[in-house]
Amino acid sequence: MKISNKNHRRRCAVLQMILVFAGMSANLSAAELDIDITGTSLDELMGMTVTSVSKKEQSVQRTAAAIFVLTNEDIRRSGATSIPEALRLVPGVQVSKLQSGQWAVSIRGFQSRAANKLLVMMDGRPVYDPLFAGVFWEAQDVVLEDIDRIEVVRGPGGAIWGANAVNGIINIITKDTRKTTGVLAVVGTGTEEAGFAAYRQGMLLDDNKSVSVYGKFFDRDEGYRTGGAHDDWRSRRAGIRFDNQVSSQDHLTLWGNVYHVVLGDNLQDSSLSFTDLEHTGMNVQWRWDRVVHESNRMVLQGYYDHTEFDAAVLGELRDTAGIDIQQNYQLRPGHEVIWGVGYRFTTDDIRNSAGLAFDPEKRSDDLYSLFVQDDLELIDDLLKLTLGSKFEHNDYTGIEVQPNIRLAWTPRPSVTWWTSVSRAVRTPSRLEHDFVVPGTLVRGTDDMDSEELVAYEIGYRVRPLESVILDITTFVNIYDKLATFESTEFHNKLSGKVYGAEAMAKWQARRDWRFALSYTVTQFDLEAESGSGAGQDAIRRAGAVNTEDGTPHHQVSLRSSVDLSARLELDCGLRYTDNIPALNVPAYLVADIRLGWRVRDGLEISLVAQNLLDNHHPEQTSTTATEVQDSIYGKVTWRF
Amino acid sequence: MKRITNRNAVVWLSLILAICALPSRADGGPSLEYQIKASYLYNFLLFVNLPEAADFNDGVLTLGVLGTDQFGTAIDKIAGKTVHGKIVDVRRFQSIAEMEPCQVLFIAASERDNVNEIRQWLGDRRVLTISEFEDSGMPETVINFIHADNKISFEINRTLARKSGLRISSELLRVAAVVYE
Repeated sequence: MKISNKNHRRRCAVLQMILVFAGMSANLSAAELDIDITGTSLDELMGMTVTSVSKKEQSVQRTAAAIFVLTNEDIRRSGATSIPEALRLVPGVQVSKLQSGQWAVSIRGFQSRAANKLLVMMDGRPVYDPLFAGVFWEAQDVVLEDIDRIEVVRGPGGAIWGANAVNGIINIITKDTRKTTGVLAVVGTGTEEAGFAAYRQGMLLDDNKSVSVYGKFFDRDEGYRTGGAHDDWRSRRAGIRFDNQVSSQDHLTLWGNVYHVVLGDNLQDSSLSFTDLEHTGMNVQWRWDRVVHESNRMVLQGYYDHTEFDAAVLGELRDTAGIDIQQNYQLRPGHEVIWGVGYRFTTDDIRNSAGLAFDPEKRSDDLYSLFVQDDLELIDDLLKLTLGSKFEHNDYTGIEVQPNIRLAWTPRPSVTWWTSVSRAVRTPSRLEHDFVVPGTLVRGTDDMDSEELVAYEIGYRVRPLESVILDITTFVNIYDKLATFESTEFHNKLSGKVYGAEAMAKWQARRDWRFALSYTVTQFDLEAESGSGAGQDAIRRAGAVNTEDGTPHHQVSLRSSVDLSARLELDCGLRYTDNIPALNVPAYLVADIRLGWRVRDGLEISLVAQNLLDNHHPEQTSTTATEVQDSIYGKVTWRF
Repeated sequence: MKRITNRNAVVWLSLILAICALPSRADGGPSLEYQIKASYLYNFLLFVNLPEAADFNDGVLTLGVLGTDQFGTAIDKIAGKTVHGKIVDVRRFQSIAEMEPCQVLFIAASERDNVNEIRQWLGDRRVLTISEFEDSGMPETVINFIHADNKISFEINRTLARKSGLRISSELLRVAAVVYE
């Protein structure tokens, strides 16, 4: 009872804040969007922000999928210092911090550190670990200033994307090195950000070639936990990117990265001492874009990824190599066919311990995939049909077919209605198949099937005014054969539906003042099969995330970005996340504030306060989770 | 619990209905993007030294806009202004067929596929060409607008500028996103 009262008060607080924001903006008139055409200097023009006009975002308007593009500018003005923090800005993405460097990121429910229904990519290279089909977010990073955009698709990824794209896709795309010439130096420190620095140098080698190298480190302080948290997060990484516009038709890109990340862990080993958790890795990637003609484009890419994971209870060495080819071919205006084939090879070597083992210790798997998709304008510029399927062969469950059908109706250029029905599967992870708890009967099973999803979506996008964008999606996900843990092994005994909606609004109230509001609601209705040995309890053990009470039902975010002058920026954000009853996590409302000052061209100083309104709060709980503390940091960004 | 869910559904439904009832995009004058671009164009006129050419009216600087014009009234605010002692005249050309000689030519995104024809038409005329082609690599015009994050920026092809006898001030080179030498 006490908790619900508190929730009620928090909800009221959110409402009040929204009303205050709305009240402040009611006085602004549209006329203030006008600029003085002949009286504005180059410097002032350089600093002006326009709401979502990027080509990528414009092309999103007629897409029959719940897609959101987070821009570099959005990230910069949020004050986010890591990729998961930046993802908090994306409507519908659920982000919780378990520890300083441990994150639970998901879309449309099933949120945990081991969230396994997302396909996460860096420049098109998948980074989820087949060991548990989840992402070690602590090991994923880049120089945030060099991110071009983060594209997020909620819902099944359609036919095109690779395995694991069940509840969504996150693709982090870095900038072409032609856009990162010169030196970028970033340095900062704060209460939770013990210290961070990044250095990037880019140069044009000639008219067509450019290269950029970077180095980055950060040390992040521990979270809050009675008795000490021991969860500091330290990361060092370096990398290179090379772009070559070989001809007017061909563009070649090469990437290389190395990193070493250490997480303090409060999980004590058998000798009761705290042990670190380490990630070491390197990857190389190449990509060849060929535009034979506007109506015939091809992409060929390949990557090799070496990752090492080292914890007290488990070690993992993994090598992954993949190659993908994709062609977009326009048969005639209004009719495009996209097809592609891909192959991925992954091999691992697990270091077992007395607490957790894998049988076999080494395993290699191949994944073959083929997709074909047809984009057809049924009525030009009015009704577009997308029909496609992905066929994939994996070593766990054999052939999987994942078709989808999508329809977009654009009655006016500023209005799109869309709907889709799609099927997606989450293939078993190595963990579900092969894990063993030594000395017990608890183990994985070869009988484990893929988790299946049929998703129904309806979306609406409208630009009622030049300065307003609204985007609403509702979905019903019908799951079958979700993983459950039955006394000694995993089975597929959970099914049912998850439904909800995501709404997003952007409003440019004035030339120098923008708002973004988003709301996400997620409801669960899953039930264990009657034969499920331990019933509800089994579901809980498979992860409380699968239950009605394991997901925050409501999330609200409101952001305001003001340019106080040509050199001064003020950004405020409010985030509300509903309680998670199964984890005893109360609802929380926090605020972030950023003040940025462009001292002179190329030199920016910013002061960022994060997670304000309480001293510390939990976002997820597990035996090792810590609480998120309020914090402040200062940062200097220098470009020359 | 049940009751609350229903109430949420009602709130949700009414929100959707409210939004659906919103008017479609109102014709509220030129977008901020094209106001910014128009303002840039005015600055380009100030910061680029155009060559003296015999076949132009003395005292008039012609700015042509080729293709689908999204400037609306924004560009008309430049018309009639005096730049380097000349009065700016703005002319709109729907297609290449309508083109007339001008010292400055803005090529709209709609003309992306016609660049070769436009270059042929221009021949060795000394024209400050400005385009808005995203991701084109080395620009095929002297100045090309691009979106850099949520801001409007531009790149300069200095080789082409030299060929066209244009002198670009260091001020403009400094703020360009990329300068191709």
